[in-house]
Amino acid sequence: MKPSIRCLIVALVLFAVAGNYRALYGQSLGSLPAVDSLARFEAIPNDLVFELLGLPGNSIQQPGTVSAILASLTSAVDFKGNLAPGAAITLAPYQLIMGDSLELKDYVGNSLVRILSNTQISLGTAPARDADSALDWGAGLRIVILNSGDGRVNKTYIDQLLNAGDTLLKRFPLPNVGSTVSPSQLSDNTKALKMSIDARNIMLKDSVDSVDVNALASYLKRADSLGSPISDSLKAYLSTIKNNVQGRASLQAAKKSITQQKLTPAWNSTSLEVNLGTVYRANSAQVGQSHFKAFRGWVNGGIGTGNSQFIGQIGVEMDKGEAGSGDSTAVTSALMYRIGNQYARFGVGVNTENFNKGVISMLGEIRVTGKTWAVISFDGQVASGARPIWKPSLTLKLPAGQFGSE
Amino acid sequence: MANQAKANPAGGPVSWSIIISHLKVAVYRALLMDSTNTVVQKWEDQRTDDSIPDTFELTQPVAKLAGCYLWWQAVVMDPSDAGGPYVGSVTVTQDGNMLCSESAPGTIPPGKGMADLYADQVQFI
Repeated sequence: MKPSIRCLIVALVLFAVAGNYRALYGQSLGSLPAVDSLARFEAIPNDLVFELLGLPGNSIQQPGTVSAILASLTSAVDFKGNLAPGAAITLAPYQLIMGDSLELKDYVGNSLVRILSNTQISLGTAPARDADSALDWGAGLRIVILNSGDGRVNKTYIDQLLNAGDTLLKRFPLPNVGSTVSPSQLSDNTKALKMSIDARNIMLKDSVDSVDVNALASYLKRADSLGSPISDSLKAYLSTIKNNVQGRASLQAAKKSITQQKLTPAWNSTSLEVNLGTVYRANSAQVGQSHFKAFRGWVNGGIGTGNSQFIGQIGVEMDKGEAGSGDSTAVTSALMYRIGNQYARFGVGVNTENFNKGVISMLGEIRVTGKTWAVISFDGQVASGARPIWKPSLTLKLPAGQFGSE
Repeated sequence: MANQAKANPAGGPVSWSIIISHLKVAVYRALLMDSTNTVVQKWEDQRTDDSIPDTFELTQPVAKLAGCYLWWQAVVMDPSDAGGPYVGSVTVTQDGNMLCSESAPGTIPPGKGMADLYADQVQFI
């Protein structure tokens, strides 16, 4: 598809969203009661609009093509034009419009291209959590101005990735010039390489120690189903991965190399980003009859220094209360210093709300598995003129959300 | 059916180029086989990390290209670790004219070090 056509379709989608915003914005927030909770913060928070809607991270679709966007939007709206709950889409308009004409050298050398490429729009719908038969829908905007943890600008990391790819290729050598090779042999070579890549992806996704015998078993079945003369050798190769201690150790080393040698770990990158999210409530699931529900805007920044990081955040939160509860607005700010690595870290920080309430936090985070973190914290709530009230808490952070107790 | 390219025997040298889109990087290799399945040219240890086409000239005489086929494999990776879609494209040209262009979409799973395979071939007729 031509960039101009892609641009037109993306513009139409954005225009439709913007049109709804214009129709709905500017509604009165009324009086502002006290805010009842203080928000925790992360250097890079979950997507604002999905957080406001209460959608889990693993339900978010990230369509990378215009046709995929249209498919996602189709699933979010039924045939009568009503919103369907549970839609969660994130898209990067500039990347979609530029598509395959976006060049990595421009991304590396031009900060404007980088900012535009990393600007994301989020759209989501969810059943209202505090009102029966109502539907919340929202849109969010994330602009990443700076992110030193972006591997695309890290030549050393790119070289490490390509070295790993080269190792994969060399596992299945090609015949030399002057040799004869049949098309079926080349086809088998490609099948074996594909299986190797898939098996490696499984290894990288999960802990090598816990691999995933079931997943490998499914590959063995696939190898069987190939019906190719190489099937036996593929089976032998995959069995080697599964059973051979040396093979497992080599995969472990490869994984360690990829996960540890990235020069600027994402956890303590130097970054600056702006997040805006607005949620509307549709009592009849019709977008046109929605009313303003909540708005949040955050600016997050981080300065990474070796094995430590300063992170800060300032934001505003506005919530329109339902019947029986008032509207609220709060300005929040946070500052934290963390030290550690990608497996464990310790931090001290302070959150404030409207600059007259605050929480002093001591935080320990330990990575349990790939994307699962255990967080132990002691929070001391401070209000002007009162003694701090300390509360311990234990939280398990998973890709699907956070679960914890106080 | 394999992608086909027809070169002009009286024309200039034939070249092929490969590009990987969407800010992805790749390590790749290719073979040129003649009609007897003998390898006549080989490219190994090739890398693309700039989203700009890498171009190579075929050394096989143009008059002998009919019956040959160009075969390639590329391991595609995403340095952002976010994964996502990409398009791999190989184009065969002669004297500035495109003889054949083959493109295939792919998707890299999210996560550090994840990869995808882009592989195909072009038949000269």
